[in-house]
Amino acid sequence: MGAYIARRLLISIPVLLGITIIVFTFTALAPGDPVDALIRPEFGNNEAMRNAIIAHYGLDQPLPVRYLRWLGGVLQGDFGFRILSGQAILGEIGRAFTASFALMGTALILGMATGIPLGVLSAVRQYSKLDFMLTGVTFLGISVPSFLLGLGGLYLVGLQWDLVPIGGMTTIGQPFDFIDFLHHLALPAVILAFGYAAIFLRYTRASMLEVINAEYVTTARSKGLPRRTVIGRHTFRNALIPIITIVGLSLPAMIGGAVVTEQVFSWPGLGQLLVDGVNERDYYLIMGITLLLAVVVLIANLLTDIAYGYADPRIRYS
Amino acid sequence: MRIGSRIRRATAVTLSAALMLPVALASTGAVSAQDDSGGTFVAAWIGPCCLDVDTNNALAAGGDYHWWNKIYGRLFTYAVDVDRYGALTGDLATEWNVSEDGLTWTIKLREGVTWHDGTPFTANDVKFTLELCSNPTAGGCVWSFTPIVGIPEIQAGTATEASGVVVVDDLTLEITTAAPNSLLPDLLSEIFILPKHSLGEIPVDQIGASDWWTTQAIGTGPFKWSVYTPGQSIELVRFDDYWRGAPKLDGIIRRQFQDISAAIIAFEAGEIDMTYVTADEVGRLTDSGAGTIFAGPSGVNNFISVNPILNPELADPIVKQALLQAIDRQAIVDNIYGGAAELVPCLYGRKNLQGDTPMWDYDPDAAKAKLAEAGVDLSAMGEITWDTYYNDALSANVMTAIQANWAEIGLTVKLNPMEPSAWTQKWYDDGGSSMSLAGGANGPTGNRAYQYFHSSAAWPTGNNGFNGYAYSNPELDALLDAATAEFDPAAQDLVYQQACAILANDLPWINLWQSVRYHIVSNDMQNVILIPAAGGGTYYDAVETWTKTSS
Repeated sequence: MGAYIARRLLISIPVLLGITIIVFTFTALAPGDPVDALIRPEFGNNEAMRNAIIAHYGLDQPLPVRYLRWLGGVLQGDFGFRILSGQAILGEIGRAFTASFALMGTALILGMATGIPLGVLSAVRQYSKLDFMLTGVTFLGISVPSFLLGLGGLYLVGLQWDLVPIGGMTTIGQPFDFIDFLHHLALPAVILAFGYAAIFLRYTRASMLEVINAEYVTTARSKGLPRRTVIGRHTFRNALIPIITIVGLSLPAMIGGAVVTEQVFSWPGLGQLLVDGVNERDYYLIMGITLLLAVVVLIANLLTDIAYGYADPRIRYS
Repeated sequence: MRIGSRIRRATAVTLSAALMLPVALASTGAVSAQDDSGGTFVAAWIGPCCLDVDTNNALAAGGDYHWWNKIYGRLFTYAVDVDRYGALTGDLATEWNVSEDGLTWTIKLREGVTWHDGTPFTANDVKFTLELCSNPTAGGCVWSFTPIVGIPEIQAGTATEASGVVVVDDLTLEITTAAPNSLLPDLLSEIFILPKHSLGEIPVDQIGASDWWTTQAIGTGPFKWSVYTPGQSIELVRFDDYWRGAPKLDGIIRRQFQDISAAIIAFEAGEIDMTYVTADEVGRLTDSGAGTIFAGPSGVNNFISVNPILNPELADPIVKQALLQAIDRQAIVDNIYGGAAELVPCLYGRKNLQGDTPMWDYDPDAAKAKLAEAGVDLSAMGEITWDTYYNDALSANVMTAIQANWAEIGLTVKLNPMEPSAWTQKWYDDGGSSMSLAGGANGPTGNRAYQYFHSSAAWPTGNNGFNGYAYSNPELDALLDAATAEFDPAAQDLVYQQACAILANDLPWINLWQSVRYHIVSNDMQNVILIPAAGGGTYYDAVETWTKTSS
């Protein structure tokens, strides 16, 4: 297993390089540049400013030179500065990553904690009223746009019921308080968890149903094993592979996958930061976030593969 | 023309604004009895005017001006006349006059003004700011002071000091322009003055990306920088030594919102005291009594621009007049804007600059006749892609309505909403957009026409045209030059009216309307002055008199 992990990590390096080259190229080829992003169409223009920004950020250099300069900086820990605000990109990414991780991590855990058990329940009681009700709720969770849920949640829970604050991570003007932070986190996390739970429920249900009528499960029941043992040890364990897959695919989304929710709740996460970078044509910001996302995806895939090995002893890596 | 006889009219002696109350109130705002209870004003600076809490370079930011004025001061500002700009007044400047030849301005600065760190404000700060803004290595500045002697050299990188900006003494500045320019005070009203003793310590080429803007920012404004939480908020606290008097409010908090609906919900929940509101929310919010609606013309002229290189058939002013007359603008204003827009005949939304310029009223038959006169068959042109950087539903509805109007005269257009930077490249850099719906910011004077339509302001030096093309009309150039050199306000208005007539005839922009924009302010707030203005505006809002009662 150790050798396998090491091999996967080594392979990741050229993969990462390839990803950064592709993203850098496509970003540079997209219409518009930082100067165009700086110029607000309703206002005037200043040629000197254009030329200054172009020169300052090396935008007049050939694409390979710009890429190599960026790469050289990254290898020395210098991710550059945001073009519009001048903030250090590493600091910006770190801040936004923390915010995203808190929100999406909480949502993911809540989603797993509710979706997977309910998926098992739904499969075990297939075609029952509970099953139909959960199916309906999951369709809702998958179909309803997140912005609608977000605004609706803010209006109902925040404004009408006055149970949660309207947006932001903390109460402005007051020292940081963890309970206050949780208070702000509650609604956006629950809304995102609703979406996660719906997905996990459907996958768990489907995976369980594939296994629940298998011969070895029938044998386990025939032997008189407790229902909990039949479901928990024999059925669920064997249904884990697809569930692990979907959880593994959800891990990268923890980083930048909730742009709309972040916008509605004014949550300063990585998704919103990436959108800002794209709108501003801030190549260095886009590249920094892309690199982080690529690393997370690669690590998530590796963890998923390792988890397969533990879930199914027949899977072994050399 | 004799300039000497106009000097007395041009000379303006303005008393300290501490003795001057606002001229008028916002159109629907009410002044309540003053309450000295302090409190913190919490608001969302959101909407077309605004940027975000993370863009804090006051030189390079193309918006948020009604946020920056809480921190920084200007030499000049504008009073408010109901719901729009009133007269120019002094802010950090108290007195200004121009020499006989109209070239040299002597500006007296206000005594007793200090920066937030207690350092006295002087003329050196003004000179520093103008030179910094013009320096191409400073990381960008949205304003241009090319009429001032020596500034073009700084912009070209061949000088670092402006010979036309002379510090006579700590409170006196002399600014020399290359040609008589009555609009210099208006030009100077736009830029925020920055501290030489603090910002000047930083190498110029590092200022743009410096953390000074978020950790050490100091100004001469009524509030000073306190806490910056990236992505979330900025907190300001009262500056007790503000020259107009210590503000009544304890502080101001700017909360970051990305979504206007979320900001409106926060307002209704009582979490913020002000936000921009869209026109469709005004009725509901008014009926709910949640706050006071502040409305006024946006200061942005919406227009359609046509690429005469890609579409030479549409370059003829007669054809453009036909396109305009084929649009039922009033119906669009009534039914889509809900009446919240004013038709404009040219760039100017102010009546004193429009004169009797014809509006080209809706008349499809006249439009067809003009097309026949010009010998143009629009149906033979095929489908034209109509670009815009406006991505909101209202603009989509407007374009759809115009699309239907134009279909009646044979023109087929395909709507193409784009991202702003992509549009900027397509229209300006590439000259590749056949037709666009866009907006042009207006200021308090007719000066903006210079950067949009004067032949010397061809892209990329100015905002006239695009790569490979600029509108040029020598008669208009002469009028704009004359207006710039005209120191009599009434006479200047007449010149701009003539310019408006030419713009309405030539239609370098097919002028549509100027929409109304709205803000809502909490009933807990008193003495608020707030008008919609391009980028947030350059008016005096008397924020030091604002008060807040606890509800």
